[in-house]
Amino acid sequence: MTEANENFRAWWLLSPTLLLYSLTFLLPVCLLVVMSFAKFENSVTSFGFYLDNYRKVFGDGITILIFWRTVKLSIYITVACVLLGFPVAMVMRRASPRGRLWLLFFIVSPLLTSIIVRNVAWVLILGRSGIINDTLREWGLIAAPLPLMYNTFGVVLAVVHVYLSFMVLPIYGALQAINPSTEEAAASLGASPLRVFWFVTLPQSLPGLAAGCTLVFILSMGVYLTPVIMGGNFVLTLPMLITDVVRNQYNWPAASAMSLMLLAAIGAMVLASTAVRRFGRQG
Amino acid sequence: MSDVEIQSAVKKYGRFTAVDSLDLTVGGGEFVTLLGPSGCGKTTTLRMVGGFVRPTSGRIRISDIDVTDKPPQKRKVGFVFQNYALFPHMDVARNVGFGLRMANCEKSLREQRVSEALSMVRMDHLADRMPSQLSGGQQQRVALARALIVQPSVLLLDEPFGALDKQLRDHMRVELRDLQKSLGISTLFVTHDQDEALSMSDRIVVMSEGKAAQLGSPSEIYESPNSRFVAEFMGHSNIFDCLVEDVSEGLTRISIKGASIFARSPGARKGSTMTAMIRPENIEFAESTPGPDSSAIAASVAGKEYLGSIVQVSLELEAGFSLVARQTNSESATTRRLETGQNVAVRIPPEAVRLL
Repeated sequence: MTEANENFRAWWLLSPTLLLYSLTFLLPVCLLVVMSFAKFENSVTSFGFYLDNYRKVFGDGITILIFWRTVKLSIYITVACVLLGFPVAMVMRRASPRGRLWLLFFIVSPLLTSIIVRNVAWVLILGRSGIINDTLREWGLIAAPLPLMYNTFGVVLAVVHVYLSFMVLPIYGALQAINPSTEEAAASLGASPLRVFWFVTLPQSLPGLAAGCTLVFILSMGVYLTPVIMGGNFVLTLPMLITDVVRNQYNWPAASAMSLMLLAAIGAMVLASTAVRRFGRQG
Repeated sequence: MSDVEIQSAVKKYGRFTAVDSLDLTVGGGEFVTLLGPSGCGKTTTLRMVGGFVRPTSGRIRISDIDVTDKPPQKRKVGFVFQNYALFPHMDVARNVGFGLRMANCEKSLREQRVSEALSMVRMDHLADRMPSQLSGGQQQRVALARALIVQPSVLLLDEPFGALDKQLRDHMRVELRDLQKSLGISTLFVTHDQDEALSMSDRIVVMSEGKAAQLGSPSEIYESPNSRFVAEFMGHSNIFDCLVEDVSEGLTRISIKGASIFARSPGARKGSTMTAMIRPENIEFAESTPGPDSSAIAASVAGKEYLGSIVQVSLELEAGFSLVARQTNSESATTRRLETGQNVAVRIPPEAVRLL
């Protein structure tokens, strides 16, 4: 059998997935593009090539503001995941197989809980009369309840809790691939543990770090239910705005333009991460 | 003045003792090899000197300073790893310059010394390559230059030729030894390959189960192993239990499965059981079948192995044990003419027999 033939056969294995993706991803995106150029007037959608929606998205001030807030929120979440996740991945790398399994279970456990249960639990812990505030008040440490939720902090905390595993696992994978002898070599050449990390461990784990950041950032850009519950009406994200425009205004064309904006931001992030990964390979 | 001193070092992992009260001193630019099968504790010993493994008890001294409690970065050792462990994200020059960079060496001086180190290992033309673009031998040279550039008190080598093919290995062996001699740096070398140990070392420590089974020069280790373990590990094939029948004037008569053989080996006591080692290259072939008064022994050829430069024959002796004989492959070599199944007479000169 020729090589081309073999390749062709391998491609056939992809066909069910390709079909599914065409129907559930490519087609809807095409529809979004078409819809985003339609016109919405007096609750009537007329198709064509109008730029009204984009003019509104970029021109009304509020959409762009919420977009940047969503980007900022996603950056907070991503940075928090890096700061919390990197040490966890480092510990997992050094842990015994059993310890590693426990850590993994611990990190992944939020994904195994229903989103409603998780968020209600956070309300019980962080709310005005949640466990933390009640306890602190009982001990007389605070007079008024601390603002632990219905703000950015609460949303970031709850989202980080779920998405941490998407950061830890790629970083752990990259760390696993590092030859420990390279770190020992650096030490015997006079590098302190901190410099070993900075000059040898970190650069070699960049591909995993980039993958983790991409995943968490993308997921955070699209997060909806957690900000609704944890943020109340105080943290507004682009997905929430899009939902509102569709549900309450029935303005599908404007919502489509906003969705494409979100998609473009995510695409930019993927490109940036690919660049970092390429850089990581070259040194 | 010693460069490395290992004082009754012990390393235990739970109930397993990897290194068992080992003593060793290396100094004066000598090349010392830790030789042994896998799991004998040789790498653990090297890693204790490098600072990657903490001894359970005992002391490690480098340049007469106790470094037992010091981390690797404070030991001034040059360590070359089995898989070279080059930094994959740095080019050759930055790999080699790493130690100087950690010592906060000024950039212009660093560049000069990197190019010196690279020309020392004949790699100056590849300074801007990435490790992944280098062959095994080239990576090996870079690893060596990287370890040597910081002028360590001792060079530690952990099976550095393990990943190379045979031809390159033989070549790198000579190259490393020449470089080591010209720098006069004391070197501790770990290998499981007897040939490597014999050809490179000033002294060899044969290790077994965490202990030094024998310490000596290559010829001492090869020709006068002090135990059956060392003899077997050094590749000797004719090792037998024997009974000392008679001792007189430097000549000892022993019996292996009833066959009497003379040995010129001191330290035997009449009536004791010992281990006899017969060197395969010293076995002689008598032309005809032995007469009743001859010192020759009747045997038949059980197999013949042609190894290029030598021809090896396994013999089945009438007494009921087998013996390996080896001859250099020359026109006059008897072994060349022997056929499987043929009956021959062999003579074992007393000098060929060593009692352990």
